[in-house]
Order: sequence, then C-alpha cells, then structure tokens
Amino acid sequence: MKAFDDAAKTPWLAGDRVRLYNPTLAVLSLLVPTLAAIPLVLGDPERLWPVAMLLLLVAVGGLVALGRRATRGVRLNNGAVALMTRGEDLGAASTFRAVARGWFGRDVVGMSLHNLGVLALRSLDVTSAVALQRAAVAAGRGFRFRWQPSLPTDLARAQLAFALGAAGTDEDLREADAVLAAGKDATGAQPIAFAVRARALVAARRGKHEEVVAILDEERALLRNLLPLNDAVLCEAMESWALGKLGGVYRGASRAQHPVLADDAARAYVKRVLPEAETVLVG
Amino acid sequence: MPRHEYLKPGDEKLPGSAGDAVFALVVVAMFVGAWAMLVSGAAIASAIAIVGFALALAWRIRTMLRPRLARDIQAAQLERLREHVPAAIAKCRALLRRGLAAYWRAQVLVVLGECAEMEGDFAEAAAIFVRAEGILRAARLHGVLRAQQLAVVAAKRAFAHAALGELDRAEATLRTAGVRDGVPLAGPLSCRAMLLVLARRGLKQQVLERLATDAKLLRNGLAFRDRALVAVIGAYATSRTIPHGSVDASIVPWLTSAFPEATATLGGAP
Repeated sequence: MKAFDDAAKTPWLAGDRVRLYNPTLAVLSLLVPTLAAIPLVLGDPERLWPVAMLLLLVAVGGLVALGRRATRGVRLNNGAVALMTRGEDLGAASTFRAVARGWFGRDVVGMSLHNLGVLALRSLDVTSAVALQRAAVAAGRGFRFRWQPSLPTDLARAQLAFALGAAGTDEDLREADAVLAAGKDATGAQPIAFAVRARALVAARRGKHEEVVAILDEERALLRNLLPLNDAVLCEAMESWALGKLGGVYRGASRAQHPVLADDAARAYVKRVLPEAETVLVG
Repeated sequence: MPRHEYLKPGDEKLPGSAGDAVFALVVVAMFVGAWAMLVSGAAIASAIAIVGFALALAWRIRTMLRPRLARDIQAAQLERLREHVPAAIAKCRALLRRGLAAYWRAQVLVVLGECAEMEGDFAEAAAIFVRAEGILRAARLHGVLRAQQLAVVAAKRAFAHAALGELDRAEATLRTAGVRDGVPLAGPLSCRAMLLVLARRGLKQQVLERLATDAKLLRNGLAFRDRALVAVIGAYATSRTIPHGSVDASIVPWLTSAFPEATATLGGAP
C-alpha cells in the first residue's frame, strides 16, 4: 500500500514496513472451523468427534490469542504515550515503531502510526507527520461493521488535516478539506477538537482571517479544556494574529489583538506551523 | 451548597437481565435444533441451529460493544468540555436511568464526577468517584481494562479529597491508584493530586522538587484549568504573587476553592 510505503521512508520508521491484520476478519474467519465442526459432530459423532474437537480448539485458541495480542498492543501503546507525555520522545518513538511493524490489529497499529505522526509534528518534521498520518488513516480501512467505532482513524484524520495545513501548499490545503469532510461524523471530543484546530489553521493559511476567529470562537471552551499547551498557545496565537490582520475589528465590533504568552517549545511549534503568528507571542 | 443536583436517589438503575435471558434462550434453541437433527438426520434443523448460533453470537458481541451508548457518553463528555455543565449532568442522569452494565455505569459516573469537579463541588465529585471506583472494582471486567480505568478514577478522587482538605485520604487513594497500569492520562492527574496534597500540607520544598521532576509531564498532560492550578501552586511554593490578569478570571473561584491557600498568591498587581 502506497501510504505504508511512504510512511516506511520517513526517519520515524526508517525502512520498517507496516504490518497489521484486520481483527474483524480474523474473528469472522474463526467462525469457519466452528461452523465446520458442528456438522462433523452431528454427522458421525463416533468417527469425526476428534476432528471436530480439533477444529473447535483452533477456533477457541485463535480467539484467545487474538485477545491477548490486542491487550499487549494496547499496553505497549499506553506505555509509549506515557513516555511521550514525559517528553521522552525517542523511547516512545521506538515503541510505536515496534508496534507498527509487529503484526498487531489495525486499530492498535493505526494508533501507533498516529502517535508517531504527532511526535514528528512535535519535532517540527511536517513531511513525515503527513506521511505517518496518511498511513494511520489507511490502517483503519478494510472491512468493518458499521457499528464498530474507530477512534484512531478519527484522530488520525484530524491530525492529518492539521499536518497538511502546516505544510501549507494549495494542494495540501485541498487535501486537508477532503480529509476534514471525511471525518465530519466523528463523535469523540478529541477528534472534534483537533479537527477544529485544523480547520482554523487551513483558514489561516488561506488568509480567511474572519473565519479563523469564528471557528476558534465557536469552540473556545472545548479547545481550552482539551488541548495541551502547544496547541492551546497555537490557537490563541492564530486568533490574535487574525484579529491583528482584521485591524482589531471583528464583525463590526472592536476586538483588539492581544499578546500570547509562550515558552520556548510552544514558540518553536507555532513558528513551524504558522510562522506569521509568531509575531504575537511574548515571554 | 453544591451548585447542581448531580445524583438523586433512584437515578441509578441496575441493568435488567432480559438480554442475558434472550441470549440463553437462543443458545438453548440452537442445541435443541441440533439435537433434533441428530435424531432425525434432517439437514434443515442443522442449518437452523447453525444460523441461530451465528445470530446469537453476533447479537451478543454487538450488545457488548454498545456503540450507540458509547456515542451518548461521548456526547455528555462533549457538553462538559464545552462548559454546558447542566446539559452534561442531565445527559448523564438520563443515561444512568437506563440501567447500564457496570463498566458503562462507571464511565457515566466519571463524566458526572468531572462535572462536579469542574464546578468546584469537590464533596460531590469525591462521592461520585468513590461510587465509580467501587463499581469498577466489583465489576466482571478484563484485568487490563479495570486497571486502566481505576488509575484515572483514583487520581481524580484523590484530587477531590485533597481539595476538601482530606489529605490523608487523598494520599491513601493515590497509593492504591496503580498509575503504572492506567491509561496515560493517569500520570499527570495523579501528579496534580500529589502536588495539591503537598502544597496544602505546606511542604514547599517538596512541591518545588516535584514540579522540577515532572515539569514536562504536567506541561504536556494537563489542560488549561489544571495548568493554571499548577502555576499557582508553583508561585505559592516560591512565595511569589501571580500578576493580576495572567490567570483567566473565570477560573479564579475554582482555583481558590481547590487550593484556598492560593488566595493571597492570586492577588498580584498588574
């Protein structure tokens, strides 16, 4: 798959191929030995009983193995996210990389690729972030029951749109629009907040300053209650910068540009994502 | 006096067993069909048994995953994060009246507890988190799932106890939180609770050490309200005053109710 090949070329996967399986299909395929065992037992119980038992053993063993694999994947991801929160990005990246190449279920691998993309963006490597988030979205594709939620895909779509907004070419912005449209049905708070941030960035890149303020105003409470510091500073900086471009007048009322307090890490982040907004930062 | 009525007696309904009874009936029907086929050699009965088994399995998996319910809980959480707290409380109470299984009931109670914490009703928050923690501990759950959720609930409960001044209870709760097995958010949340305990005990040197050790964890893991609280605790520990206007005025009452010692810290001149 092209998205996986592109992701493998980034320094974050360093040539490792993404390897995963579809847990829905895996579970459904385990129904085959189960269903095959029933007529065997019922047809000639004396002669075929051992074969039927073997088939049932394969089915139950497969289910248990799939469950243990999923648990291990979730644990690895959680441990790596905890490292990431502590700022130990290299340790976190190596775990995410191991999960991405390690034959886990697609949602576990999707979450790893998504987190690698977040790390790439935090390290100001936008090109890799785009490739990794594309791979994370691709990981979630394939047969899935309509009622199965996919948080990793929703998150990856919002982050992909944001990374494309940070890349900033016309083609990237058009793709960001399409990605945001594809993820508009997300119901989780995090995907919604990250999508709002991406919409604001895309509007800022296009010079639609009034739209930037409107988007951020509409979800102000959600953003401030959910976003980590870098992104909170970025959103405030985008709004303040847009207000400055509007001449301190928004929808007919006076609304002055304000300075935004930022530490070194947040400043570097804003500078990479939307360099124009750096002018409003202080501290 | 709490600002809202978070839970009334009778709000929490226990789940009915109708679903399990239907499931058991379908499985029994399947075996009866299979038995009939064994006796008569009829292929149709075998087919009915197999289809019945597959349907029962699919229905069971679907009811276990409860996608619509997960979306309803997400909607309540969204209302809270958008600071529409009364709407979030109403949604949570409506969900609890539906008679949910233990895991889902605990999830809804966590959202309700977060509403109480956000409003500064720490006594109600602590009571709700205690309830959620008890449900999680008693529920039939996969060990990993239980450990992940327990760590977050315990960290939130410890914070509520610390805000109420029940510092020994907060510390005891943190000791049993099992943060290492929890979801990643449990780390910053337990650190927040520990900082509040240390600050309220007046252990300024320990607060400063903890702030230095966990600076990145707190920076990257907490949202704005908690970051403001950490900043206030840091200022208190260094006996500094926070300049007027550098903390959002809307959260000053929350900060002073969680950490009353901060009142003097928050009064700096512009």
